[in-house]
Amino acid sequence: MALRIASSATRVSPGAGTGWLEFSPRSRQMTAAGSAPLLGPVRHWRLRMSREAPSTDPQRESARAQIAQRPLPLNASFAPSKGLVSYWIDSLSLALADAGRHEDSAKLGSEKIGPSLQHEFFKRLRGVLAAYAHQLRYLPNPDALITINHRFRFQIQTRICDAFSVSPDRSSEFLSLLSAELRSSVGRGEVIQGSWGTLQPYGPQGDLSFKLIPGKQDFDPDFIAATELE
Amino acid sequence: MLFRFLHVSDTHFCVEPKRANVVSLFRRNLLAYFDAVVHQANEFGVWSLMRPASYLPEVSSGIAEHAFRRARVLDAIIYSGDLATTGIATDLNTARTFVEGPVDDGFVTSNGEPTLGAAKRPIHMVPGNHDTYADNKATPGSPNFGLTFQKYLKNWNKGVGHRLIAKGEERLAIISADFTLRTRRDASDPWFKVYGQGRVYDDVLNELIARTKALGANHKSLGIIWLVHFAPYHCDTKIELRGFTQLQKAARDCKVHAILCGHTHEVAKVEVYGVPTYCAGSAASIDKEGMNAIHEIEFSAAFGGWSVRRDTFRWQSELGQFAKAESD
Repeated sequence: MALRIASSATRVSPGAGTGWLEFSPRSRQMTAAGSAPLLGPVRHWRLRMSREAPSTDPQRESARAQIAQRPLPLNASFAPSKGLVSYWIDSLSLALADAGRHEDSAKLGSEKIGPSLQHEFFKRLRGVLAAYAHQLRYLPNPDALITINHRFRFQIQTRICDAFSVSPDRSSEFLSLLSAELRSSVGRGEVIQGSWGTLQPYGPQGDLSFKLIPGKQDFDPDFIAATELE
Repeated sequence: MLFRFLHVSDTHFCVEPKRANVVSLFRRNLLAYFDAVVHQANEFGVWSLMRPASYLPEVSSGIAEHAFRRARVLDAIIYSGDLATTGIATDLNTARTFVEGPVDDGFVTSNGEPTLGAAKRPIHMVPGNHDTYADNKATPGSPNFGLTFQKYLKNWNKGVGHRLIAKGEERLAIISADFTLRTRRDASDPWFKVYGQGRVYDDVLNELIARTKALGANHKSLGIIWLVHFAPYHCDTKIELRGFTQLQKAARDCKVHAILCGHTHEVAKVEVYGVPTYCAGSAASIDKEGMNAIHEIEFSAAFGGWSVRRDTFRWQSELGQFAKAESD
């Protein structure tokens, strides 16, 4: 029996597609300073970094630094404050305690908030914004505003609170702080972008809006759809 | 002429991500029972509690976006099982909204839920082991999948369904077979192996062979695809298809051009007896965060035979989209 296996899963580097290479300079420095590796992608990144022992040859080290930096974006990106991340952790801790998982709740509640969690927060937020932006960009007349008078729009509020499991009693403070930090970050020129477009400042109030890349369906004039016979 | 399909598998939709997911998930005690969730806990430890859902909503939105964007160059969508986390009606309804939710604009429903329905392409599917769990203890045999997705199980009889499609003179048959467990006793261990195993039942296999031969006899140079949930090759015993060698031999004897499957959550191409099996990665399951994959498979008739080619698209969270990663 001839058996040939080609597992393409092995061709993908650990953490590929998670966006963890897109560390902002800020968060990269913070992560390099090091807290305990907590999450898969971060763990893989740290493992890889630890395997690359520093060289004593300055020229070689400089060349390696250039190679290592090539895939990283030039623009800084949003880095949430520890206070902001704590709303997420506190809410999860509360939910766990409510579900009778007191040990896990205590463990989570006592965890030090560091760069890896901050980056995880950023990834999750970027995922929520990207999913919403992709949905909007195929609409004929999308309303791309994210905040109005510094408040997130209703659709965004519910999605963000869902994504971070923020408890209702903390959600108001959480959303206000997130709005302030996000507006401040975008105002400083830090970038949140994807194939959907970019998050940009809007209006004199300093609100936020998507600058959307309009979505288009792929078309091939030679392609004829199959007909169903039975 | 070229036939092109979007192959999606193992989305593991679940009612929990909608609200209060951490609490409800642990109240249902899924952690103790289900392979995907256990896998997640092993991988991420206590931090997996931040990802309590069985699927990633933004990734499922990405699947719908891809299907919608590519709809005009696709013949159909093929779904190789484990649409939902269990066969409980509430979980299946979440999957149904994804499959056929009423479209408003773009690829979302009026509630903002992403849906494959926006692509307006035929959907072929087969149930997976999760889809037939009758309860949270993975008891096999829930009838809800068949009731919920009946219209996507065309010509379904004795655990086998088929569709015959055509382009010009060329004909292609997609024949699907359900090898999910009927009872706990059909697993090699009724307590610990019941969650992930399937079994090649003689009656289903015989019907699959008979259906394939009947279609082949009526259509010259027919392209034949078998669609199953379980990977018909060597896997960990916890997730194996018991008796898979029978299926391999039957595929060879029936001159099948390709087998499409899912279940393992690992993208793979395995060729046995000259028949390639294309195993899809998990499209949206949380235990594969960062590795979620969907596929486009092309079949084209050439020189009296059929050639098969697959492109794999991996989820890119920085893009918020699936992007082409590799071909095989």
